[in-house]
Amino acid sequence: MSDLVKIENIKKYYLAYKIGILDRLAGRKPVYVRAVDDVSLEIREGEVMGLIGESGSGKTTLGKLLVTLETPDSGKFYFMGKEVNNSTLNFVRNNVAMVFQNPYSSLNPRLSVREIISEPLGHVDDKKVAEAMELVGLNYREHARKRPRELSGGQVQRVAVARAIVKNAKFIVLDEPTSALDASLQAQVLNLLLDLKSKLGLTYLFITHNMAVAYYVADRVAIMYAGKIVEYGEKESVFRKPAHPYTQSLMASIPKMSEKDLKPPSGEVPSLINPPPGCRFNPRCPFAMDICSKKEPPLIDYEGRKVACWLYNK
Amino acid sequence: MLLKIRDLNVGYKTIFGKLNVLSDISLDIDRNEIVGIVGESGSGKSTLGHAITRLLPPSAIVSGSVNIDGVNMLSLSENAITKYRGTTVFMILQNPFTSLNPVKTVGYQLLEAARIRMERDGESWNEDRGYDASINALKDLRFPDPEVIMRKYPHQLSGGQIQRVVLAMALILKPKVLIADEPTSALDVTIQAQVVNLFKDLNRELNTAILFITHDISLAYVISTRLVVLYAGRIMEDGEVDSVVKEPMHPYTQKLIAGVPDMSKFTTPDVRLESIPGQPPSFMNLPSGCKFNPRCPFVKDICKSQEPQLIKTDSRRMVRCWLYE
Amino acid sequence: MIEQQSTEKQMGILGWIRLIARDPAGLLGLVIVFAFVIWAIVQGSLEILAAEMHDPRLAFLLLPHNPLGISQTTALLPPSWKYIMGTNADGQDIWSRILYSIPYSAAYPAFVVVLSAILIGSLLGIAAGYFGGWWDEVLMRVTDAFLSVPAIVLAIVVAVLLHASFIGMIYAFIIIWWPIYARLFRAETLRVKSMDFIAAAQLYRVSPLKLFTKYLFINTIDPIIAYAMLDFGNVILTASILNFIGVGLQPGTPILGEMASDGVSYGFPRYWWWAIYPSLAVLVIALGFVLLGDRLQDIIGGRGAY
Repeated sequence: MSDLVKIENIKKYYLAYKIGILDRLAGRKPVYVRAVDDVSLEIREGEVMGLIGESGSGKTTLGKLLVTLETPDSGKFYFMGKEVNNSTLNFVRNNVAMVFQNPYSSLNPRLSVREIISEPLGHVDDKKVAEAMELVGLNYREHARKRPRELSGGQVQRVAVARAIVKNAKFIVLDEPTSALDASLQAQVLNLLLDLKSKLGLTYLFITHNMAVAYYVADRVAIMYAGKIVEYGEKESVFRKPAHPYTQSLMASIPKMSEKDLKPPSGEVPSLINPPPGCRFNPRCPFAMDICSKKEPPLIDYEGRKVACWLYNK
Repeated sequence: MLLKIRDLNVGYKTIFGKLNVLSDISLDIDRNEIVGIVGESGSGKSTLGHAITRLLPPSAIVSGSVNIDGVNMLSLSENAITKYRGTTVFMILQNPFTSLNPVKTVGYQLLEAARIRMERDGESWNEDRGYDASINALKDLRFPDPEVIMRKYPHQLSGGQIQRVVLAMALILKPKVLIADEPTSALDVTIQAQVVNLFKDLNRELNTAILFITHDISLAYVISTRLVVLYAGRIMEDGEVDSVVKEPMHPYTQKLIAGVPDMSKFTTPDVRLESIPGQPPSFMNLPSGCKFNPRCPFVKDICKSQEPQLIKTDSRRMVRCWLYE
Repeated sequence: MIEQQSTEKQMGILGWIRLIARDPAGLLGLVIVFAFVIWAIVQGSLEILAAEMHDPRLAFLLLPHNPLGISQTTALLPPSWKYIMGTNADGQDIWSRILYSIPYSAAYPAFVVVLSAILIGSLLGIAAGYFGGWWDEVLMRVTDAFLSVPAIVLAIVVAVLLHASFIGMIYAFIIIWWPIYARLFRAETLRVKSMDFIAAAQLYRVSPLKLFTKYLFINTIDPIIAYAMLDFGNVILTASILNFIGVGLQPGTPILGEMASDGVSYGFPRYWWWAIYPSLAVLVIALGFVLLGDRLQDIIGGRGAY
């Protein structure tokens, strides 16, 4: 299985505050939000890579980078073996798609369903629209001319998925596609996404904060914290025997119908403007050592997955 | 019995006519119980919380009774009910960023709560005692530097911190009934877990009855002693949380539990989640008979024409389903 | 959480009318505006036809009396059954003159100014909101300058500078009227820009023209329509005020503000009807738009249901 997507040392910083002319004259230095801070990852063809993180982890930014909605400030990005730059941008955009979290705000409320699904094509192609709608389980005759507000939440999300597959994109980034849906709809949409993946040979980056959902859909998972990947590998390894203390505390924080006690980590999610020195999790880590607040641990191999933690890097 | 809700019905006046939302809600909740009210959007769960605290919009039509220690909240005048809000019944809401007054410090708002508590207890206002009560409440909610927090404004706090400040207010006000309307839905998973543990501590300290309203049944399992399942504005099932989750009786509860992603299910990598066909009905167009019948795998003829009553089974469970009548 | 089923039914025009009518003031506004618009279209068409066919009498078809004919015998008559609002010094029926002047002196400026302002304002405001950066800064400062001076003062200055005829006055109005619309469009664009469907459109490389019209313009225009409704009244009022003080006149054509001005200068208070009725006409028309616009803003702002 080759790598469909490969990123090396990707960084993306945003300006925290707007710097106007007067500020510049006063010598005020720009302050950056380090949304994605030196991330390397590869996604294999045909797999679902689950990207797990809480708010402020940088997962949404990473998703946007991989779909070329944002350009990285530094680092390399390879898509289907080609390096992504201005000349290859069109090629990449022809082959990627994105499904967003809030189905209603991701569709233009003034357009009809068939116009929305045709967006990637540049003009309305009813034949392709009908095919895509059938694949997601929507009746063309019944819904094609409706507006999004006439549809239910589940149907709207299906339209968003149909739009993502209408141009035979190979790589789809899904940013919390079921987080805004009701419990009884989540299973429907998740199962649909899995079926489509095998039917059409797709590759997914599935971004979520819900670990159980990530376990259900993903083959491999990556855990993000404060702009960095702290652990990633096969889901069985990461979930059953989490190595990184953050992953362990995440597992202990999620509610399960088998365990009454939750054991969350202490403290708050760190600021991306001024992250803690050394390992970003060290202020909250129950196993913190001296070196943790001084040097950032690199990602190394450990028991079948990669982890960035001094506990495993002597 | 601390909280007795009887035959609570809530409807709304709209330009399309009267919409019936909550129907036939009857619940008994004792002090110290944490009741998890589980429902999807469109189940009426938020309306329930707002009905008890009399915070529904003016277009709402309410009937029935909500008794807290013998006093019916619904029969009180507007003036009278304000004396019960805060100290008898307290509500914590979903969006932390609109819960506190943005132009007053945390300290000001906690002192305000302390003053209200003292007034209602018939004591004269003592600022020092109020301040101490506030600091202690913040300490109980695990704030490492309470004096610093007292001077902060809400916009300087994170969502989780704000929810903890609201819980600190609850600690100061010592309500008999605490209604939590999706208080952790806007929070990160680790912060949610922190707040859930604080809820449990609060319940132990204050002996309050807690109604924890949520769409997340796994979360309801972790925090509640009892589970109430709401669908289309009706109670479908009501029972002890462990037994409801292990042996759900109502088909909706069964399907809900079978369809929700939960790590306890994924004992093998290839478990498949079940989905419920169709979607929850809109209140403008409720089906006749049992409201779940169009989606129910065990539907019979009677289900389509007559709505079942909520009946008690022998295992201390209440179910609204023809399978059990 | 997203509700499973959308509870919104399609409202349609009848639904809107019902909502507006729930408020008595809104209903009054609706009636006035409706009558105004119908009359402006009908009478305006007749006037255009009359000009094309070189037959002025076509324009008088629906009027009780000839608004332009001069007669000594009917001069300065008080209101009666025959002349509902009396006559002026030239013997012309005031009510007929009011009706005759509405399309040109009230409706035409209102629609031309507001529509042009919306067009210019949308182009500049949406561009500023969408692209941000320098364009945004420049636009904000320019509109700041315009908005810090009261409209009437600006209007007079520009109109006098342009030696304005009636049409010149309208151009002057357009120049000072667009800034507020630019600001409104910019604000709405900022709100819409953060929505995912714009990100999707960027990702799928929707053409800039389509992006502007079908994605930005059409999704930002709602609150502006309600404001524009109010604004029609504003334009009519301001134009009448300018006309009243003698700016932007057109010899030979009756203009509401001018009629009121003449009435005050030559006929007040003895022949009070000459001044009062044209002023009342302006008041009622502007009021209608204000009431309707206000009610629309209420509805769009969410206070419409009760």
